Amino acid sequence: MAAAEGSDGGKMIVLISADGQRFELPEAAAKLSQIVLYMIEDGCCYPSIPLPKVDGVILAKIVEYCNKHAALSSGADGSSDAASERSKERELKIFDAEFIDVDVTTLFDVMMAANYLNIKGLLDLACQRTADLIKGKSPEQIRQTFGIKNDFTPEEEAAIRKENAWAFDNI
Amino acid sequence: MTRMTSKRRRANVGDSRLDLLSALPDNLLRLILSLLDTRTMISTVVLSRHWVRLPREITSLSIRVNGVLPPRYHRSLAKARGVDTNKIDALVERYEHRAMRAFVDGVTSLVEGNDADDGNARRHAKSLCLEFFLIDDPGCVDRLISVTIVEFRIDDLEVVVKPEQRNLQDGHPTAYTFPHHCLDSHRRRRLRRLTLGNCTPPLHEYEDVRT
Repeated sequence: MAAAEGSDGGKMIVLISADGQRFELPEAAAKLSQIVLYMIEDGCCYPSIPLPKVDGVILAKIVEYCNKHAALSSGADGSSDAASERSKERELKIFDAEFIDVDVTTLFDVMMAANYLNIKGLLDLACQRTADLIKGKSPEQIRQTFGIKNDFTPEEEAAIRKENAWAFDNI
Repeated sequence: MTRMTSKRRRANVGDSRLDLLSALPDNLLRLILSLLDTRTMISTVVLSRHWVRLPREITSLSIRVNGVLPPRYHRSLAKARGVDTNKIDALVERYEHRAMRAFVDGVTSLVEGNDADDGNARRHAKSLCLEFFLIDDPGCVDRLISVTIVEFRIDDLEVVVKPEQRNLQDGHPTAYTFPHHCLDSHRRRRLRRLTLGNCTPPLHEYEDVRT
């Protein structure tokens, strides 16, 4: 089957979400997913790649991330001077920070999708965001942030705290 | 992604709020935990039963005095910049000493916890980052470094010395001499990578170690 071509002549890849939504993106963007990359290499990416584990809302986010990162990856537009590389890096950093500033449910859905699709940069970004939400908080505050239910008896909790006292003491 | 999460959500029906974090697969939780400083990472054991065993599985450890210094310390430093105030210095110094005590306690607890015969598998940490203030008795830190390399079978060690404020102000920040004498050839062979910050390194001793 003939490959679809984008406006700039590059190949386009079509992803289908679990709820049947179609997403068309340049091959260079789709290849950020290792899973999709393997499918492209094996030639089993046409006419489309079904992703039965990813819903449309989240796939739309993933496609947005891949498009931006592919467009701003080094050498994407032929320029390679240090100043333009730095400005692209800055733009990506700002994009990433805004992109991952989402509610916890979306954050974990994006993380699971990035894990499934094997998009390392996005997985790292989602994990780092989660770690940042944990940092600087007491265990009680972490429980509140993520809705974690404390299922220890008071005695058990006291014993665990004593065993790891240095991690709980404030200086 | 709701296909993946629907199962997790169903399992939690009845809870007022869903614990989506604990429902993540262990490999993702390990990734997240490995991004935390070791002190915060260890403190997650108390969140719920689900979290008890996870911190033991983390192979990158990082104990930094910066992690325990309270916001008040940094505020005092900001205030003291350019001002000659002995009072603030005393506060800063007190916090630095306390942070060092917490650092030594932390490393000691980790080593002792690993040593305790409580049926748990011993921890193998691939990488360890230690950041500390230079104290009057560096021998104590020397011993900790030497013990942790063996105890945790460290491949990748990073040692960063933070200069104390009073030394910075004197204009004579002292450098820490990395305790190569504490490392016999066996220990040296163990290390794959050694990164030193503000240390006097005995580089000639380490043929197959990058610094």
